[in-house]
Amino acid sequence: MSATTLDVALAEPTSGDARVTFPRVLRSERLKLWSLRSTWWGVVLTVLLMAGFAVLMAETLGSAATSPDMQQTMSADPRLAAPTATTAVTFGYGFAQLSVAVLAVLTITGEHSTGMIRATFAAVPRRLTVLGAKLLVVAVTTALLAVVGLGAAALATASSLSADGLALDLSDGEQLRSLGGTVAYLVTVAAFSLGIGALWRSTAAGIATTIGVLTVLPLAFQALAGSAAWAQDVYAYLPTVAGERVIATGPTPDGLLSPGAGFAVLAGYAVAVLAAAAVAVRRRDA
Amino acid sequence: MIEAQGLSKSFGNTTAVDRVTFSVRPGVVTGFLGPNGAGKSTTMRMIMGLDRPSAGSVTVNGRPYARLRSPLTEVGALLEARAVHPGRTARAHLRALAATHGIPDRRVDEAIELTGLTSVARKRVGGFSLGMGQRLGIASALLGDPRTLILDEPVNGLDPDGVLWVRRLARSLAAEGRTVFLSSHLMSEMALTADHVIVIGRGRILADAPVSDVVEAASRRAVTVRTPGPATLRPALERAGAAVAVPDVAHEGSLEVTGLDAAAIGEIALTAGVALHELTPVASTLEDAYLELTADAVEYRTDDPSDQLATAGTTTTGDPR
Repeated sequence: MSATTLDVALAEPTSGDARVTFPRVLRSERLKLWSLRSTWWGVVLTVLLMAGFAVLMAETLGSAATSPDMQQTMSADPRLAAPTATTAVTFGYGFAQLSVAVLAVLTITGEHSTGMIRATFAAVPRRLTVLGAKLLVVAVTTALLAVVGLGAAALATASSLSADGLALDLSDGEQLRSLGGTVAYLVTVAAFSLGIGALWRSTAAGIATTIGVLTVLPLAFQALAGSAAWAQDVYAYLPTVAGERVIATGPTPDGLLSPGAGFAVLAGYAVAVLAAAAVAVRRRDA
Repeated sequence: MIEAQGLSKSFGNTTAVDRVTFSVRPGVVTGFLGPNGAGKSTTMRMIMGLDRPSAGSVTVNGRPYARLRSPLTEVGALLEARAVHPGRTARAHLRALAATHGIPDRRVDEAIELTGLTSVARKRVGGFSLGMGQRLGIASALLGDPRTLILDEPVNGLDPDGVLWVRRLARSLAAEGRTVFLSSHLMSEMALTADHVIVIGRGRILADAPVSDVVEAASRRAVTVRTPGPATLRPALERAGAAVAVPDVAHEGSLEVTGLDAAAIGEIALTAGVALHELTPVASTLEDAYLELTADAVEYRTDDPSDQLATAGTTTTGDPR
């Protein structure tokens, strides 16, 4: 480097238009998200999980049609009692939600753990603008990812499903709701996870909490539900249990919420966590 | 222009910054000097709106940082090294920051070139040396061509070439009329770079004056005297009101005299009929001034090794916490 180059002024002076605006912060957050390798890994993993588990489920449904044993096992599970094409196509959401949640947590805890957050807040002192931009970027990315994942799943299962007479029917309102519900569900899980990340600020704590809430809580309450009635009531209102009702097809099983009510409960959790995160982000020292 | 009024910050029972009031003017390099843990970084974070003051206020160009419409064009900051995600390339990092203000990629590349990062701009920051990390921090500070620069320990980890570069950069930025506020715990660096210095210790301002005044004020005005007749000269000097020390007992002819200047000492020696082999005024440095000012304000003191030997095995020494 040359020690003589000390002319730091702009080649052209900055116009009056160097103000921080929401679209600009949004662009910054988009650049940040896509300039990390972890994002690309997360995206590829999510699509693979959605397509891969859809294929597995389609195969299972196919063999169920010819095996009475399998039919019996499946009719015991309310979610599989009356399978439709979306039962297979959307099946990967349970796994995809984990990679989506990790991506969302990382968008905020990755900044805190590295100190990047200070550069971010120095550039954009209105911190809620940053949180809002992150939320929007994560939500849009997750929505696109879910659509691509479902598309891959539909393509990968198409021949197998039509062979079993279960071809995807987009004119069927319930199947359409299930597909749209998968997108909405994953977006809401991502928003919830972003809020947890903003509250916790630590990657380890953020990921542990989201995975715990998304997967461990339902298992724990399912185990308890056999012995305690209250546990069954709580179970229905857990974020994932309530939320995944919007993906399920068929009649609402006893003790669970309707698709609309279930999704509203999940969205409520996300709003509550994000509101708490907004207060914390504004108040805390960076 | 940075103005702090009664600025304080406490963490629990610890007061990191204690009612400091100062202003940093444009056109000169103002050094912010203090031992580690004195409150420099906390003060700088409060200026940047990153930490919320417990009391008092601070403004940049007349406004609290959080109210600035385009902060990067007003204030460029190098906060403690590595406010960067290691997984991003240097250029991606700068582009993301620039995007918040609509600063074009052209300026990003200018900042990269200016800080000598061109060859590593597309490498991920995780592999950067401390010095390259500092350069990236300075590049991000320069992105918006700001009127005020806040540099926290900018020469940390730089090689001699880089130190020289930062020094010249700071001076030329100030010469352009910008406000330059840079912190360091290295007084030698301050003596070379700063025009004005604010000394902080244990969260309080110990001095706020031109570098030369700080040196002057704390100067001991010592004179080194070497004589074959210390037994005669020493009482004669002391009668004249000087303080005389013998720094090295093995050489009792070498005296360190304070309270009289070299001319007066020479005349006293002549009157007393004692020969002088050396008469050297010792200029006090900023370093001396600094050590004197912060003598009581060092949070982590290293005990004298001999003391440690004496107390080893009985008590733990050193860290007052």
